[in-house]
Amino acid sequence: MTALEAVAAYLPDQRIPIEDLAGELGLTRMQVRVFQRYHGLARVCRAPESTPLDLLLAAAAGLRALRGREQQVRYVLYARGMPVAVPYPGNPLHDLCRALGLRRAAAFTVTQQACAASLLAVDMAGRLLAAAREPGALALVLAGEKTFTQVARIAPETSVFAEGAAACLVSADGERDRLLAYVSRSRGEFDAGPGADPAEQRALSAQFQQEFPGSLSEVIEAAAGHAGTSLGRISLILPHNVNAVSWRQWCKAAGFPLARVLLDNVPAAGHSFCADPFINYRTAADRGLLRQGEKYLVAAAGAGPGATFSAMVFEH
Amino acid sequence: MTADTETAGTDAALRQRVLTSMTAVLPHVLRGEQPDVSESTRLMEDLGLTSTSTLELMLELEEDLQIQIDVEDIEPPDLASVGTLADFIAAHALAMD
Repeated sequence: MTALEAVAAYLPDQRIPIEDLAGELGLTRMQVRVFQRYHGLARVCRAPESTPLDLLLAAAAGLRALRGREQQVRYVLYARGMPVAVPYPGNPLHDLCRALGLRRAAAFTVTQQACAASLLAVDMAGRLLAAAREPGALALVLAGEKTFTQVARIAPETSVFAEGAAACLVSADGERDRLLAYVSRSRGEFDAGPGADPAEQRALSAQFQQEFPGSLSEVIEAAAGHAGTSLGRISLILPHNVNAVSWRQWCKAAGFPLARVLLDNVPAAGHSFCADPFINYRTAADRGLLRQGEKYLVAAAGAGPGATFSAMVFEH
Repeated sequence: MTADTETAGTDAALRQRVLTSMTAVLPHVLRGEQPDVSESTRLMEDLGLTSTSTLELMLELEEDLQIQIDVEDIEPPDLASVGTLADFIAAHALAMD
């Protein structure tokens, strides 16, 4: 059964108040206040001097379980919300494999599921390892992106992106943090397609917001059911950090206690694309919030183009 | 700054102040347009507001009326029209001294 052998996270020291980014993001004073008051965002991590490779290496450096086992790594998967990392011919993923000495690994990027791509990458890593049937084989899943472009800096009316990163060492049959269930739904109807007029885009965006709580509930409850449990028995949800309001609304609709959704990194660090759930794993583990035998849930949703809703249940 | 809950339910006088203030602040939120509004005017369909620009409107009203609005409980039906938003604000306002 797929398991997380180790999880590491990197959050740059620099935390910029979002009001200081108003000019760069094209936000009015009131739009900043909406983000602060309603969406629960306050500061975002930025590492202006760092490259994408620097971010990924900083996260991977926290994986002590990787040291001395580099030759066991068969796959390296880079989960990305944005399809392109750096201009051609740069390739931070292959640079990372060289830097870490992962000479036997097949390395590739997992994308097209927006900020839910890291969950797919973990599931895919486990399946690849299971198919390889190689004792001791490992996969390294990475997430973390730069806010180079305007579309990578802000999701209008939704979130402000940050530059955190995460690294997970995955095995096919580990004992710790065993993956019990993974459910994902891709929703192509939320893609207006190229050249769609602004009114259609707005209508789709409003429809996405309206359907968000129900669609998220569907995958979360399905994942809990596949894991042989129920939502009420999930000890903790490790969310994506897109904002606090969407989780508040979901908790209210689902009857799930907001205190059992780890939202502390939303105001403190911002939304680090696909890396959030595993950054939040590290926060939860460091605070002793994950207890042996308890089942916790990792959830993420992303929009553009289309939308994806995903949930995983692990047993710690 | 201290805040006290103004009423447990809807405050009729505050509701009227909210409606009056909306006429003043809507042009700002609508970037200069001066719409004709009534209680039945729909915020999104008639005025073209988004869920976020409706929240901007609430923050403008907070400043204009010197109140603080508890936005955590707001639901999509509260954002349906000028009247429903005034109802919500009058029931979720904290007066600032």
